[in-house]
Amino acid sequence: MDSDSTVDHGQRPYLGCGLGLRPEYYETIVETRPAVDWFEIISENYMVDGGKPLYFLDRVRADYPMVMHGVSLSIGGTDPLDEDYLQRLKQLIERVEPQWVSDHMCWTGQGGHNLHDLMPLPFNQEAVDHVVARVQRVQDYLGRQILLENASSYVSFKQSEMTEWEFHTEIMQRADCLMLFDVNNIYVSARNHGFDPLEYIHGIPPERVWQFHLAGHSDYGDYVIDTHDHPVVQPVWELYAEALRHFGPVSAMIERDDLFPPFEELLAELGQMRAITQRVLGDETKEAATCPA
Amino acid sequence: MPSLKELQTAFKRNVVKGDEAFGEYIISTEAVSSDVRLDIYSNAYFARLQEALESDYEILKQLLGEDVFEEACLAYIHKYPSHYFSLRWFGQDFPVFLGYAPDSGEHHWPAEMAQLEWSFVGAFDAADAEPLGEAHAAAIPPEAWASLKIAFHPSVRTMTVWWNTLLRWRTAKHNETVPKPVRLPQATQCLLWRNALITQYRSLEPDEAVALQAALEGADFSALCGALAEEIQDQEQIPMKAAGFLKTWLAAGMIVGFDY
Repeated sequence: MDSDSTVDHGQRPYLGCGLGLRPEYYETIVETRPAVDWFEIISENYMVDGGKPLYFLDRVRADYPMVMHGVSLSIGGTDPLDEDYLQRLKQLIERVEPQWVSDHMCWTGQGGHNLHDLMPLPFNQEAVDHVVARVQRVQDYLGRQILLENASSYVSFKQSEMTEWEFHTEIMQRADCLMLFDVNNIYVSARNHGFDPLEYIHGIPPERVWQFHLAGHSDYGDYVIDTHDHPVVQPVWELYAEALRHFGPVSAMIERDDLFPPFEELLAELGQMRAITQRVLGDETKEAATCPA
Repeated sequence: MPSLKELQTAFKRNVVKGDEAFGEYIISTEAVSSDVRLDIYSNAYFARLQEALESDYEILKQLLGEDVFEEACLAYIHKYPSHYFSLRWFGQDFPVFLGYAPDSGEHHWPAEMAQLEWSFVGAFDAADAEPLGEAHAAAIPPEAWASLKIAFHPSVRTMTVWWNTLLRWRTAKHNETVPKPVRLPQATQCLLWRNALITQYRSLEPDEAVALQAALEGADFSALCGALAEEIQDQEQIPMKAAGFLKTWLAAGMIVGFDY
């Protein structure tokens, strides 16, 4: 793995309110150029040779700022980092020129067997040391900081020695990486593990958070599953407002990955996000650094 | 205390094989037991992989019915663990798993339907290349034709069809009455490619199939005509016939380069 000698430390840009780019909406987006401030792509969906995915990627990128969000880095995995994947990621970064690149605080497979899921890590010192070393290698290779998202989880390990927010913070500070703060995942994990989501929010250093995710989930009463197939629920909007108060102007977007509604419904949900953002931050968003497409 | 690697190995075994030993590492709560918590990961694993197969093999699922398709998916998931970073490639061994045997034709229709659908997946996101127009053929000097070689769009591919798979795929896709699976009197070649982002397919007559196969294997125009000699009795017709195929392929956006 070639290594770049420097890692670019940019200032936190503020992109506004965005959406995930999904194939179901390609034509609508290209034809109507909706009032969405920016789009997030799932990186792996564009690690193909050609055809529709790359055609629409380039069309949408020409009109909107874009960030890249991956699901396969397996930063917490104990298999070696996948060099083929990292190479493809770098190639895609060169094509998209995204504002930033993110993945998840998780592992996705073991022994060469990919589970294609965001598997949870124990929050202990061994995992911290392991992830820090791998983040540094990835950032050196890409020549830029990466954002790691807090994944939803359904199990807690007896081997954990610290809270999830302490775990993220120590890794971010030691590896000098950033955070994609998923507000819905905090809600889901808080419900599943019985911690206070506000304590989580206030446990994360604000300058490390560059992006918010919001999404819907499936509520089974005793537990909640992160499914991205429903609108954002009121308690998550309330946590979003609190996150804005704590972190300041942070670019936010809504993820929708199943039971896709008409695009207008997503735009209406985005309107809700804008209203809350405006109410909490007022003119702060205008003062924040903005980025052209 | 188990190492991180030991934890992940045990967790994977629990997800994939239901190995219960891993449960001892998980905190059980009064409201939600460790078993229920672990089942969320296991269920998601099988559901996600099955969903990937459903997306790649939509018509096969429709024709087999949900139960049979699900049974096949589960067996495949167990036998072919994913070694890919993306689900895009997870389903690639499904036709072989179902017994696809293109050379002998000793497979049942589901294997062939799977191969057809996987070929569509391949054509869908194959590399881009700019197709040539008919003017490019007109510009070839007469003396260069014999040594002319054709570069095809990366999405162009062929497969051997032993069953009425194309008709069944098309009728199912358009919600029409799907005929019963029957073997064809003789195996035929099916051509698949992508033109202007749209994936296309059609069956080939034996002479065009021979010409295309030769061209795909790098034969020049003269060798392509030589291959056609076995299919066409009137030898004088061969150059015209071959030129006709070339014109058809150009019009279909299948050709991206001439070398002469």
